[in-house]
This record gives sequence, C-alpha cells and structure tokens, in this order.
Amino acid sequence: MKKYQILLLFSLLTATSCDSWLDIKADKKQVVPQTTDELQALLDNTNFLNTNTMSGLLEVSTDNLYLTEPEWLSRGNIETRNGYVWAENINEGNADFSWIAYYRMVYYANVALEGAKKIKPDSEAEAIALQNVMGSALFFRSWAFYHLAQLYAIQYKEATASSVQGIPLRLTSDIHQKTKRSSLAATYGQVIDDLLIAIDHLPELPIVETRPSKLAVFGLLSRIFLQMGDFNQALRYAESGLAIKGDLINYGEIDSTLRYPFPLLNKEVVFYQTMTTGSFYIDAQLYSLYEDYDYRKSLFFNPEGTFFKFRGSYSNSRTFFAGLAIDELYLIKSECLARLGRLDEAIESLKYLIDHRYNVDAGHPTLNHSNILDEILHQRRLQLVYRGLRWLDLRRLNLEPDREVTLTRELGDKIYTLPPNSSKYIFVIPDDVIDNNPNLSQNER
Amino acid sequence: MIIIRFISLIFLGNVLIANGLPCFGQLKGKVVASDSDEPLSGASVYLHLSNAMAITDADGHFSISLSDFPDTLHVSYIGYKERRIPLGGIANDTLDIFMHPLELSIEEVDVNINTGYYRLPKERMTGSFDFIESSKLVQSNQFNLIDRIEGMAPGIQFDRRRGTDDSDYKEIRIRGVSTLYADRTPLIVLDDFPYEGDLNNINPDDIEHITILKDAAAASIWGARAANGVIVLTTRKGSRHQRARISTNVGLHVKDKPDFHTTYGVLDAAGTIEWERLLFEQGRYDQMENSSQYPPLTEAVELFIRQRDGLLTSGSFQEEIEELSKNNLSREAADHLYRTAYGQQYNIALRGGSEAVTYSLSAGFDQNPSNVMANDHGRLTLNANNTFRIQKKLTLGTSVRYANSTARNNGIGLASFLNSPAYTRLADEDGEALPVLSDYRVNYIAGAEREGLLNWQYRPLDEVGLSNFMNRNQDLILGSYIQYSPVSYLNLNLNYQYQQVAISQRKQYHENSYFTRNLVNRYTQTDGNRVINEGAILDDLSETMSTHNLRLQLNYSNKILNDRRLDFLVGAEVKERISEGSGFRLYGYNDRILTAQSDVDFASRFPVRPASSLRIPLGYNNRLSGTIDRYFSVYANVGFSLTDDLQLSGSLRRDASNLFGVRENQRWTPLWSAGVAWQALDGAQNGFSWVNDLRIRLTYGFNGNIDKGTSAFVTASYLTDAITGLPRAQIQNPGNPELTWEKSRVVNLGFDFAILQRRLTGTVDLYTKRITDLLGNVPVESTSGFTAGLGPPYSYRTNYAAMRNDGVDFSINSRNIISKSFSWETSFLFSFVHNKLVDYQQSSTNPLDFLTSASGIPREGYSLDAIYSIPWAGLSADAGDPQFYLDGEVTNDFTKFRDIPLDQLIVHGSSVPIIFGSLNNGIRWHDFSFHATLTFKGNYYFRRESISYNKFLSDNKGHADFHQRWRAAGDELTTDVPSFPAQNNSNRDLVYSHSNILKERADHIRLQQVSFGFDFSEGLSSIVPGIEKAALSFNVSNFGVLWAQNVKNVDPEWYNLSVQPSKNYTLRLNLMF
Repeated sequence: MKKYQILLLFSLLTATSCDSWLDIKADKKQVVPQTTDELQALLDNTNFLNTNTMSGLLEVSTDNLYLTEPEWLSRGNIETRNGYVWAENINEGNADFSWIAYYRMVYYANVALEGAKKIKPDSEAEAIALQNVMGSALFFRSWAFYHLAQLYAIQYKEATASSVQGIPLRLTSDIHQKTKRSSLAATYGQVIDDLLIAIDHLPELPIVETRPSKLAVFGLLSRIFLQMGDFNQALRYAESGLAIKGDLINYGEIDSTLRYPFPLLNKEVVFYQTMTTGSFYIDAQLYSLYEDYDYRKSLFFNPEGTFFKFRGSYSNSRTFFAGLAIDELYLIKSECLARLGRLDEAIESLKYLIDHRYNVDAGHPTLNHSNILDEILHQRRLQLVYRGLRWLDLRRLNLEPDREVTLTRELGDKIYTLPPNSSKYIFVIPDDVIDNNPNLSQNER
Repeated sequence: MIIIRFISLIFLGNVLIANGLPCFGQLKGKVVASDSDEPLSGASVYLHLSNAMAITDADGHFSISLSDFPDTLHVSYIGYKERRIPLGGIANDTLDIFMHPLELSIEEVDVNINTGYYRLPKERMTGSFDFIESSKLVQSNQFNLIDRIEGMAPGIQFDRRRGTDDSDYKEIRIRGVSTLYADRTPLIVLDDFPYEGDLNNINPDDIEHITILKDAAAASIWGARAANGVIVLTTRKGSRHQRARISTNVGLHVKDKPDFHTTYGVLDAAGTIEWERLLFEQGRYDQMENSSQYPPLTEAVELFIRQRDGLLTSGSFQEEIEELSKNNLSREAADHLYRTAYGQQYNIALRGGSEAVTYSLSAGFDQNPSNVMANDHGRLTLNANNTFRIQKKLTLGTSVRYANSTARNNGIGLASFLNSPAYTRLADEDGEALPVLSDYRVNYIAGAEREGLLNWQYRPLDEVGLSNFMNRNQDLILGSYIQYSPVSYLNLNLNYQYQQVAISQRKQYHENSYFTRNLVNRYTQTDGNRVINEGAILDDLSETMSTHNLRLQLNYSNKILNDRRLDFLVGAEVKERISEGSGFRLYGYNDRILTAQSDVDFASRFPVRPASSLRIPLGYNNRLSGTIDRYFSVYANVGFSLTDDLQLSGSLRRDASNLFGVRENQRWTPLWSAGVAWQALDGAQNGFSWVNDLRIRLTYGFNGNIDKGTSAFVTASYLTDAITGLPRAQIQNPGNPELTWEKSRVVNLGFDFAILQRRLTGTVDLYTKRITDLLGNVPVESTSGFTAGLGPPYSYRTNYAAMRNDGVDFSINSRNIISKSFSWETSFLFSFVHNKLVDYQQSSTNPLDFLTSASGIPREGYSLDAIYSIPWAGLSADAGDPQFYLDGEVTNDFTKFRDIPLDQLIVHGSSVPIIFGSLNNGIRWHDFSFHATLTFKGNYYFRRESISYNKFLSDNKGHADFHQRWRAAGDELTTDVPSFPAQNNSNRDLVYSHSNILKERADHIRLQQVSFGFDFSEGLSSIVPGIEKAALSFNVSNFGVLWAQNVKNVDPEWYNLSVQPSKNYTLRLNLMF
C-alpha cells in the first residue's frame, strides 16, 4: 500500500505541468519583443532604421561628386570604388551593404508588424501606441521597398510596369522564406497601398522626431508619384504635407561659422535618414552653379585645397542627410504645378523657397512662365544636393529626351560613361541571393 | 539521556573488550555490516592460536571454541575490511562485530562507483568509468583539484592552447570534444549535485575519491548535461561504528623563481637596437615623431633622433647605445619582480561515527603565493557533514560547506611589459625605480608637473603592491536529505541543496598609481580644471549565483526471481539557478573615509591630452547581468542480473528547461542508454590457466548538451539610443522554433581483464560518439535582413550539424613485485581520440580564418582541431622574401595568400594531442615509498613563434630569429627567416608566420610529478600513544619536458607564455590520531 502511495506522489510530481514555471526568460537582457513598448523599441533602433540606411550608390554613381585618381584608388570601400565608375558588378561577389541595410529595415518592420497583430491593447493609450507601431512599421517597409526599387529595378513607366521585374517583397519575418521578384507594378502597388493604410495609423507629426508620421507618409507618397510621373497625385500629397507643416529655415539666419551649420533634426526635417558614404569633393561644374548671393554656396561648402567639400547636411555632421524635408515638398509642389500648367502658382511656390535661400537684396533668379520648369529643376539640383535624390532624378528625367544627360568620369587616361537610360541604372541582385534562388532572374547590367 | 546514549553509541563502534576474567570455552558472537546493520551470513571467523574456524549462519551468529588465551579473532567477509580483534578478556557472552565495507585504497578491492545518483559495486556496472582514489590525488601537489587528475585516468586531456600569462585557461576534454558552440566543460558533481562554483575552491584534501563517467551508460543519468562527460567528486565523510579520528596535515610549498633563460625567442638588447636602427633608417618612426598624440618612442629611437638632429656627438651616441645594449629586461625582472615563493597549507579533520550518528568536520587553509611579487592566492575551506539515524527506518543528513578563495594581483609580471624593449631598466644602481616606456613620449610627459599636472611617468617598481586588486570567490553549500527505508530493499530519498557563489573582482587603483595619474592628467583641461579628481579609482564587479536543487528519488535493490539481483531507481528533480551581476567605478575614491567624486559627467566629451576628445571611461559602470535557468527532470535507472554472468542496465531521463519555448513538447527530450556486461571468463572456472578474468561490456545511449546563448524566440537586447535617448531594441537571435538539445550517441565496447595470477589487470574501451543536432552556424541570405553577430555573411545558429569522436582508452596495471618489504607497481594509460565534422555548412571560405583561428573553425570532413598552413616555397634568392605555392606556382605576391583556395592549404593534423597517456611507477620499500608520473602527448602540431617585422612597431619586442634572418643572396640555403623588408608589409609577415615551415610536431614526454613518502606510524606510535598514522611526503611538479620532437626544443604546452611554469616542491606531514 505504502509503495503505491509513493508511486502516486511521484506521478503527481512529474505530471503536474510545470510549463509556466519553465516559461521564464533565461537572460534578463534578452527580450522577446512582444509588448507594444518592446515593438516600439525595435522601431526606435535609429542605428538600423534611420542612420546609415540609405545606399551610398544614390550619390556615388551621380554627377554630384568628384574624386581624384589617387583618392579613388585608395578607397577601401568597393561599393564606392566600383559605383563611381559604374562597374558591372559593384560588390564583386562580396556582401551588398545597400541590399542588407534596406532588407534589415524590412525585417525589423515585419517583426514589429507581426508582433503588433497579436496584441490586444489594454487601454486607449496603448491602442494609440500600437497604431503608431503598425503605421511606423508599414512606413519603414515602404521606404525600404521604394528605394530598393530605385537601385535594383528599372525606372517606372506605367505602360511596362506590370511586365518588368520589380524587387523581392518580403512580407513576413521568416528568415527561411524563398526569395521571388515581384513585377514593378506590384512593387509600387504594395508600397502605395501600405502607405495609404499607414496614414490612418500615424499622428500628423511624430511623437519622437526620428519616428514616421502622417507628414512623412505624405512626403514619401509625393516623392513616389513624382517618380512615377503622376503629377496630380504627387501635387496632392505634397500639398497635404505642407498643410501640416510648411515652415522653411531662413538660410540668412544660419550661423555660417559653425563647422556644420545646420542643426540635427531641424524644423525642415520631415523624416530622418542618413547615408553611408565616405567624403567627396563636389563636382566643380556643379559648384559653379551656386551664385555668390546664394547663402547655400557658403553654408553648404567648405574649401579644401582647390576643391570644396559638403558641410550642409541636415545631420549636423559629415554624413549626408537623405531623408525627407519640407524644402523637397516645395520643390515637388512647384514642379507638379508647372508640369500641370499652373505656372503662376508654380512661380509663387518656388519663390517662397528662393526667399529663404538667397540674399535676395544682393540678387536672386528671375522667374517667368517660360523658364519656370527649368528654374525649378535647377533649384532642385542646388537645394537637394547630397540628399540621395540625384540618382532618382537622373532616372526619371532621362525619360524626357531634352533633359537626358550622359555622365562621364576621367581617371588617369581612362574615361567611363553612363549614357541615359543605360542598363547601368540598375544594379545587380547580390550573388548570395541568386545562389540561394537559382530561378531568380538577375538584372542585365 | 539521549546524549549519553549517543556518546556510548559513538564508542560502541570499536568493539571493545572490557576487563574480565579469562574465559575458555565457546566464544559466541554476531557479525553485522556497519553500513546497513544487516547481519552478514557466511562470514569466516578464525582464531589464530586456538586454530579454530567457523562460518556465520543466516543471522550472522557464530560460535567458536577458544582454547588458547589470549588470542586474536580474525573475521573476514568479501567486500568488507578484515578485522582482527585481540581477546584480552570477554565481558559479554556474545560479541557484536561490525564489519566496515571496503571502499578505498585497499588493494584488490572492488570499488563502489558513485554516479551522483546511485552507488554500485563496479562489477554490477556495465558502463565505462574511471576511479581515482585519494591516495593517488595526493601524489600531485597542484593547488587545483582537477589539475591533479591529469595523467591519472585515460581519456582525459587538458587543452591549454588558449592559456596566457595572465590566465591558466584550459579546456578539460573527456573523450574528445562534443560540441562546437555549446558549453564544452564537463559537468562537475560534488556530493550528488552539480557544482557551480570555482574549481579552485575545492580543497583536494576533502575529497575521498573521484569517479569519471565516460560513456552513455555511465553518464546518461545526467541527461542534458552529460555530453562532455561527468566528473563526480565525493567528499570524505565519517563512517558508522568508527571511533573519532583526528587527521591533520601541514605542508610547505616552495616554487622556484622562474628561469627566464628557457623562454623561447626573446631577442637580446643588441638585436633590438639593431632592428630599431633599421626601422629608423626607413623613416618608420617619422609619423610617430610628428604625431599630435605623442606616441611613446623607445630610448634607442630617441637616441637616433638626437643624433640625427645633431644634439649628440657620435662618440657619446655610441657610448649610450653600448650602455643600452648591456641591459637585459628579463634579468631585471627576475631581480626585481619575481621571487622564490613560499607557501603553506594546513588541514585538520575530525571524523567518526556511531550506531546512529556519523560526523565529519574539517578545515583547510592553503596559502599559495605566486612567483610574481605581491601576487598570491589563498583558500580557506570549512566543512561539516553529519548523518543521524533517527529511527531504524529514517535517516537525516546535513552538510555545510564554505570556501573562500582570494587572489591578490598587486604585482607586475613580465607580461605587463609587452611594449618595453629588451634593454629596459627597472632600477638604477641604487635600486631606485626607473621610468619605463608608457603611453606618451618622454619629452611630452617631462613637462607635466610644470603645467600643474601630476607626475606622468610609469615606474613599475613603484607600482608593485601599490594598488589593491583582489578577486574573491566564495561558496556556500547547504544540503540536507531525509532517507526513509520502510523495508531493507526500498528507500525513498528527499534531497535538497542550496548553493551560493559570490564572485567579486575589486580593483583599487591607488591615487599614486600610474593608471590613476594618467587618467587624471589626460582629462585635466587647458585651464587646469580637473574633470577627474585626484584620488584612487575603484572598480568593482560582483556576481552572485544561487542555485536550488531538489530531488526526490526512490531506490529499490533486492533479489527477485531465483536470486536475480534487481537495482532500480526512479526520481524527479527541479533546479533553479539565478545569477545576478553588477559593477561600478568610482573616481576620486578615498578608502579611509569612503567618499568618492560625485559629479562625474560620463555623458559629455572632454578635450583630452595630448589631443582628441573623449568621454570619461565607464569602467565597470552599467555592467549589469541577470539570468535565470530552470530545469525540471525525471529519470530512472535499472540494473538487472539476468544470470550470474550477465548484467543488464538501462537508464532514461527527460529534461525540460526554460531555454526552450514555442513548442512545449520539445522541451522534453528523452535521453536514454542501455548496456550489457558479460563475465566471459571467471577466475574460478575456466580452462585458461593464464587468464583469470575477462569481462565484456557493451553500452549504447545518448547524452545531451545545451547552448544558453541560443533561444527559440526572436530575441533582442536593449541599448540606449544615441539620438533619441530612448531604449532601442536590437534583434540578436532570429528565433528558432526547432531548437533542441545537442545529442551525443555513444557506443562503448569494453573489456576488463586480469591475467597471470592477477598480476596484470586492465581495461580496454573502444568507443564512438556521434553528435547530432549539433548547433552550427547556417549562413542567412542577405534578403532575410537578419544581421546580428559576425558577418556578412550573417548566420544564425540551429541544430543541424554532426560530428564524431572515435577513440580507445586503455589502462593496465602491473604488480611487478609484491612482497612484504618491497613492492613495485606500474600502471600505463594510453588514449587515442580523433574528431571529425560529419555535416557542416561552412560559412567561411576565407583562408585567413582557418590560418589564424585559435580554437578551430568547423569544416566538414575535417577535425575541429585541424591546423592549417600556407605551403612554403622557401625564401627568394634576390631579396629574402618569403615565397609560397599558389596553384602550383611559386609566388611572393603576398596579398594573394588570401586567395589561396582552402584545398591548397596544408592540413597538418590536429593541434590537440590525438594520442596521450601516462606511465606511473610506484615503489615501496619498508616504510619508504616513491611515485613518479610520466605523461606523453603525441601526434599533434603547434605553430612556432617567429619573427613578425610588422608587429615590432606595436610591441618593440621582436624575436630572436632576427639574428638568423636572410641578409645576402645565398642565405636562403641556410635560413628560412625572411629578410628585413624594404617596406612595411603585414601580408609578408602573415605568409611567413602561417607557413608550414613554422609548424612543428608537438609530441613530447614530460615528467609530470614525483613524490616520496615515509611512513613512520609504527615508530611514532610507540613513543606517542594514540598516534595511528604518521607520514611525511615530498612532491615535486613542473619538471618541464624530458623529450620534445620539435627541433628548437620548445615546450609545446607552454610555448606561448613569456614565463614558463617553474618547479614546485611540497613537503607535507600527515598525522592521524
């Protein structure tokens, strides 16, 4: 009898589920991101979601910058060295940091989105915080997808968008999923649809300056529609954004003696992103376009020997700011108005920008109906230099025969060229992705 | 009343004969086992002078006729110590004779194996065990208990590749290596529960015996922690019916001053100066000379500069250089920083037991100074262990163990002078401390005091003993158990243990120490404002671990079905281990009034001297950690004698842990084993005259292992964001729902034999371990976006890889000569073990990873310990450049060596011994004894250090091979040391240092230890009554290598240390009364 009692005791001890006892977290420093706060902390990782996220190729491969031959040779970064001369395989089989950084943004967004869907908020405040997590995640993912498409897919043309290759759209956090490319139409469709959903989740202005907001969504949508050539939509979202915040810094009030004159997260910043690049000289011809009565000439550039280097980043450092800012929205608005034939409004919109950039008493560009579009694009070049936008502009403006440009580089006795609409405007998919997915179609470059 | 009974019980153990009249006739008595109180049936009883004999009956009773008086009664029973009872007079009609089980150190006695869950005689076990008794442990004088088992048991090796001057790190391998990324250390069990503290905290004198569990049948009862093998330590305890004994020993250690002449590769002063001259002529110091950071320049270089600038006549320049060349840093260090170290050790123990109580109290103190002045290591241990038999069926046990070891590291060893050239002087003629090379140039720090800064010189001799660095390691173990035995063959045990380990690392940098002065000066602002106050700096890091273990176990042991023996146990246990750590740094600390600087601004950047701007170093601030491990396990073990010759065994264990999530059922991984042992030949009944015994064992089963760093969930760690100041989470682990234990499948075939009248006894074990579900790295596609850890390519850890270890353990003991006054015994241990990765998706194709890795990079089809090198093609005739083969062509295009395909690298073999073992000889002549242990390691390789021209600028050390370098065409025929390069090229150095020309066989034979003993118990007991044992012993260890296969005669075990371990002598006196 006693024996059975002991056995009973044992079976009780072993059968009693101790699963909840074993559910405790083993390392306090290791968090399993589950709660709204934890998911928000993932999206507050500015290291991966805001800084050094934008691809250096967006500037390295453009006519904004200049390297001497010895400097070019001494560059350890193969992306810079090869991107500068539009080499066929930029990374020579090594890791593609542009790809990795954008897809890391996608991964963080996906982990946050999946987590957010499982949460039932306990309070009104948590519900709002959860909305912010979902909206932010959708925004970050769209930001990454859109810029990936500017590097790894052909420039958008409505007629062919559904028949050409877009980029792989990763919509879950499963690291094992197979990689497939979507059509370019599907890529843009996904991005635009997600952003339209994000509008309803996000506050007009960000609670924390590095987070996305409704304003950022409008800014990105107007950037995307401008790239697609849909000027009505681009105008609509630029105006929606400017309705939330339309203040510009008066460059005349900026202290030019500071090493980096523009404060971090200043009032023009809509969405904060920076770019990984080394330091470069500005293209001499581009520098010559800045008039002496243009505040930007001295605020943006520092002499270094016989050359000039950029110091006008909104990141308050050598690192290029490559996010969204109010000035870009004015330029989009002006360009769309001009292209839609609303020329007076376009002049008025651009003039507002010029008033904040020039020492107007000393001189300023004259605007009229015949030069307005050219002047807008000229101001776009001057204002948005080193913002990661030149590559996008080259791609879209090359579709207009009278605005085509051929870029050239001279290094020693070698001359490299990038003709308009060249296949070199599309970078190759990283080798490890092709190796893992033999059926994935590689870009011809 | 109870106390009186207790005391009387204590003394009852020694069956005593009270005074009384001689009594001839029938002597009656009862023979009882002291451990179980069971009567012993079949014991033989013999009267020496009366020449009478009897056998005890079923109840243990005997009756024997006493015809001569006084006489001695001999009682013997298999498995128990023989007793001799002098019969001076008989008080009682019946004698109660308690027989003590034979456990230890008695020749030809089968030992009781302790697995931590159960104890069984060896002949009922099917698994593979090693057993080391305390008499063997005292042959070694190592401070650390585990160090003493080297050479004592087959299959165990110590891998010291990653040891440094500052840490004698070693990896203990039992039968090879069983994991890539999970824990590699064997499980150490101390008195039935895993020991979580520092092994240095175990006093070897407290240990009764060590059992090493090697195969699945032996170890799988430990389930998920058994894959690396299990070392079970059993402490000494009191026995029942044993009189109180006090045992003491006193020891003195002497550690020789290290011999710096034996350090390999030290470049002399003249060579160092010549090297610096060559570099100087190349302008290699120009940049440093003009840097705003004022990097330090050596004395010779400063002289070159002064001569170049015309500040020194060539005569006095020559004179100064000659003066420098006479110096010798090693000699200076030996004179001023090292010493012959004298240590001492004391142990005292009281042990005994009665019918109802056993007790053991012991205290030990060991003071072990280092050869480096002002460094020492002390250990205090206290133990109390008691059992009480409350009723016949109920036993209670309690134990308390406390250990405290303290290491003071206030001295300065040669390793801290890594950047000082060989001609550095530490003291002038008067013995005054001299400044040596520090962080800045002499001319920069010379003006410090004029500028209101503190003296900025680094004078090592003034630093010895100035600061107070102390590592303290405390253990407290409290244990108790209740055992209930309703019937003799059944008992139920409830066993609880609490362990607390407290580790603290405290560094108090004295206010006058260079460390403090340097920081204060660096952060002194141009206006003289001190951002860091004067005063000491205190760093403190502490960690506490507390572990609760609770075990409930039912044991059954009986004869069933016609005398077939069944041993059966089933149990469950829970374990929780909580560890918490924190640290801090205080500036401006005053240890007399306990105040510190309160306004330290860790956030801002300050301009620092000489240039640049920095934040104030955090030290140990914000070093926080917290972990909780929980385990829940159920287990069972069964042993069954099918016939007299056939023994079966089996075990089953399931472990669950909080490390696994997602799928609850995967927490439960059953690990099991089965075994059979067959007594093929038994001494009594076989036809082979020369084979006395042959036993064959075969076992099969699984052990587990775990990596705490891998999680089933997506995990992230928190940091504070630099831009927003908010917490930011960073994903560390992509989540792995399939996470499970690593499983090691072990097949073991063993033979135990005794031949030639049992003069030779031995064991051979052949085994193969196949480890599956091994955690390995799998590269992730860059589209995944997962980027934690090293990369790109980034990878994550999952259970997929597989490896195997195959090996043989062989041991043989020979009793060469056995006589009353002289005996000579020899034992020989030999092991072979080899590992190989069977399945691995390697993530690296970079040859440099394989060439430089210190502990091995997994590669499918190769050993984890494989050592790689670049195929060497000699020196070039024109410039003495190193050359190597690439695609079959000789080349000296150094950058290309990074492109050598992996399959063109030479794989020499293993960097860990594949064969190893020992030869032990023991000789006894009357009361003198002598033991010597030779160990050997073979079939492995090491990379010999040689010249690296590029490294000189960072360490100013160079290498003695400099003198053998190529200087002129033709030298390539006689030397392999590359010429001094025309310009700096780190790849050129890497090619040479990783070429096969520097790979050497590491095979060697070492005299591990020698011990002498003198037992003068008899002599002393006649003078001092009550003395039971008196013995003196003298041990010597660290003799160095006797033979090494490499041409340079380098000790392959310690070649990477700047100071070789020196000889260590211990004299011990042991008294027991």
